[in-house]
Amino acid sequence: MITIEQIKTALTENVTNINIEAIPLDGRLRDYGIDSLDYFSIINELQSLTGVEVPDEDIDQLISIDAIYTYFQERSK
Amino acid sequence: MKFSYRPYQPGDETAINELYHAVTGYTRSAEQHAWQWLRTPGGESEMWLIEAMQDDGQKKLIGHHGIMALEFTYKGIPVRVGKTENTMVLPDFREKILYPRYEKIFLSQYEHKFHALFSTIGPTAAIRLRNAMGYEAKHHWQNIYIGKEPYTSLTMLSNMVSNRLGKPSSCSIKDLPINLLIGNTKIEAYAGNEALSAFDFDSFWKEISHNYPLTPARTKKSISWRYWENPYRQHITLIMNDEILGVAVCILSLRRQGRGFVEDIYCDNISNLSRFLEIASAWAKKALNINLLEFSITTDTIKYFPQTNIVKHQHWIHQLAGKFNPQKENLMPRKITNLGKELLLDIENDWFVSPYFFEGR
Repeated sequence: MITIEQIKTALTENVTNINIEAIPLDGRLRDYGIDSLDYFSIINELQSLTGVEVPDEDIDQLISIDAIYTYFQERSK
Repeated sequence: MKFSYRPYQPGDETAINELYHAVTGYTRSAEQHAWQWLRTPGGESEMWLIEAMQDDGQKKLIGHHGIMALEFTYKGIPVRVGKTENTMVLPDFREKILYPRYEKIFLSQYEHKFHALFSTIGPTAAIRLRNAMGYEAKHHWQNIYIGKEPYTSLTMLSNMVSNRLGKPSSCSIKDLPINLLIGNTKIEAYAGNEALSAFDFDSFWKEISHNYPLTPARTKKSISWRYWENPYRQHITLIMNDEILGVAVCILSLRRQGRGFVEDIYCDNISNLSRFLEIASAWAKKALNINLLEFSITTDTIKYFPQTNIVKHQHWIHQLAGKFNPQKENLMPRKITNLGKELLLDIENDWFVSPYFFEGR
């Protein structure tokens, strides 16, 4: 099972120059400057952590910390 | 929406060119595409396509990544080097796919076919992406300006003003003087591929290439492709012969009024490159009234062009021009593949590469 803290840690470790704590849980990550390469690193790390593979067709669901949490939570069961 | 990827197949040109136009705004013909991608001197280039399955079951091209296959040599040894080009995703799909995931897959498919990979110039996002793919971006592009004051400064100033007013036309290369003597150097100038019948490029490169670090091969095939078959720009070839300095080849393109670009220069004694650059500048002034020649090279090979021989940026006009057109910090990302490591290639090998300008930009 994944936690919000683990997602925030993945964000902090893979994204520079952005204050992750300032992003609300339902805030759209792209609006805070998270780009495709950041997403790639974060998703890779969360995939390794949870064993859940994220196909491309699901990428546009992962818009916020909350959405990422829900996505991995549902598939880790 | 489902996505898939595949390598290029004949017939994809139209869709690739449409994607290119949608992303860049530039139009490219099938012939221009063929020159740039199918007839590259290192053999057919790598083109990888990302497609989205639409509701009607049809696939739509939404992304592309390419590596142009080039012929290089390292101390005379032929090596195959790839240049990244046309990495593009339709804006509507940039948040729907993880593009780096695809490039990582593509890289694993083509990396073993090349000794080294590089990008000439890229925005910050592209540099970050290349870094994530194992490239290293630590060498900067540096511009060298060659000419005599006050003409060079006035030309920079007039170009700066005309840049703001609109793009001026290029100089004409009609009535090109064929032979000129600059000091003790005899210079023959040729438009287009006329130089081919006057000079044995293959033998010259075979004789001197061992003096050069990692650099594009100047074989007849490579030079013809890069310059004389280039559908976007006309080039002038100078064959310079000097009893003391030796022989040099310099290739120029004409840009704005009073300004030219040194696309390439090489000679039998690498320590004379700088001197030949000055002679080329004197020729350009005398033959075409070009006041300013510009040349770009990376920080690792700038040493072949000592600062004493180039225009210094101390004049107030240069400083003013610099304020209006600040030079971006352009990096050249490089990656040595396992094949290249077997030849002991290194990103620090003094890459003697001038920028590859394509697509008329």
